[in-house]
Amino acid sequence: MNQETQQPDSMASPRSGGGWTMSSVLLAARLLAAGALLLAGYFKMQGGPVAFMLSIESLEVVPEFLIAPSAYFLPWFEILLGLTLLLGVWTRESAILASGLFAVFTAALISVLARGMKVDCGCFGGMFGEAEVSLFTIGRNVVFLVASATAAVWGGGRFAIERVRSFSSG
Amino acid sequence: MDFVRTIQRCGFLVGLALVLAAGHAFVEPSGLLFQLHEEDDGTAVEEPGLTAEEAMPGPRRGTPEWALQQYEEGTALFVDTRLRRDYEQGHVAGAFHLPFEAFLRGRPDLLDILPEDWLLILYCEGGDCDSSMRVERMLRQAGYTELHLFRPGYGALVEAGVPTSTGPPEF
Repeated sequence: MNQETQQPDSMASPRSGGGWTMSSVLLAARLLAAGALLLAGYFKMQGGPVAFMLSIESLEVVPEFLIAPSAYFLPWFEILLGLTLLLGVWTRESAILASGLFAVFTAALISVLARGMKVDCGCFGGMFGEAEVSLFTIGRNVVFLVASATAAVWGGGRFAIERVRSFSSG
Repeated sequence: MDFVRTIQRCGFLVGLALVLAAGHAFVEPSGLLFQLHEEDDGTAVEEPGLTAEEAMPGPRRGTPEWALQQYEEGTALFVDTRLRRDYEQGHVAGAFHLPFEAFLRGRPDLLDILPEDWLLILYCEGGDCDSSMRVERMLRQAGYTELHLFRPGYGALVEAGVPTSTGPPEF
């Protein structure tokens, strides 16, 4: 039996994100992370695998043999995690994976900046204009990382679909 | 048991993404998994053969002097692949601005007006810069064949005396 669905709302533990205020914060965090992932995945799909391969290659942080598989895998992974976070299904698991993804992206961008390279971020397919890797792009990634980490620790809150008994007891 | 369930679900999500990616690669292979790195050093992309006109005495193809000659004779179009900020600070007069990032959203609108039957000279900063190389790959994929990757870069063009201007791109 799932403990979260057994507790009255007033007794929900902090880790379950059961209170209205906490649930609102978790909803915002979830939507922020989901929006970032969905947009990033969508625009990578739109640009196609070749463009994304070249974008990954330009960062010079991914081993050559992993560039092409990553170019196919990452957009799907982002869209999948974005959808699950948006709906609040398997929220903790999705948020854990999303946190890992944002952490890896952030580390890659820091590495690029530390080496003094002058390359496009390519993070959202240029949706927000050209985004040369900078402290701003790194800071933006950190915000997404914090949002997804918040959902990873406290779950989806009461606005998540998984809070419905049929989902959470499965 | 929560930990085990979390691992199982994470594994499922990763696995599902892998299956979708494999399906995508199967449907849209384009030979890209292998094509990309054959061209890494730029040698696999063959330049068009020399025409009779090009075989005539004059600056060697690919040199700054050759680029200047192309500019003065109006036989080529210049494409600046650097970031917009760099373009605005100075670019070859009349050069199109086509950074690699423009391709990340699909086919750039600029390709609607960029002629396929003109020689396009692509440049970036020179040295370690590789944005022009990435743009060249994308243009070849889009069907352009008359391309020249000007490796010495923008600085060499300026030194050679190619006219420059500043400001935002017209297109």
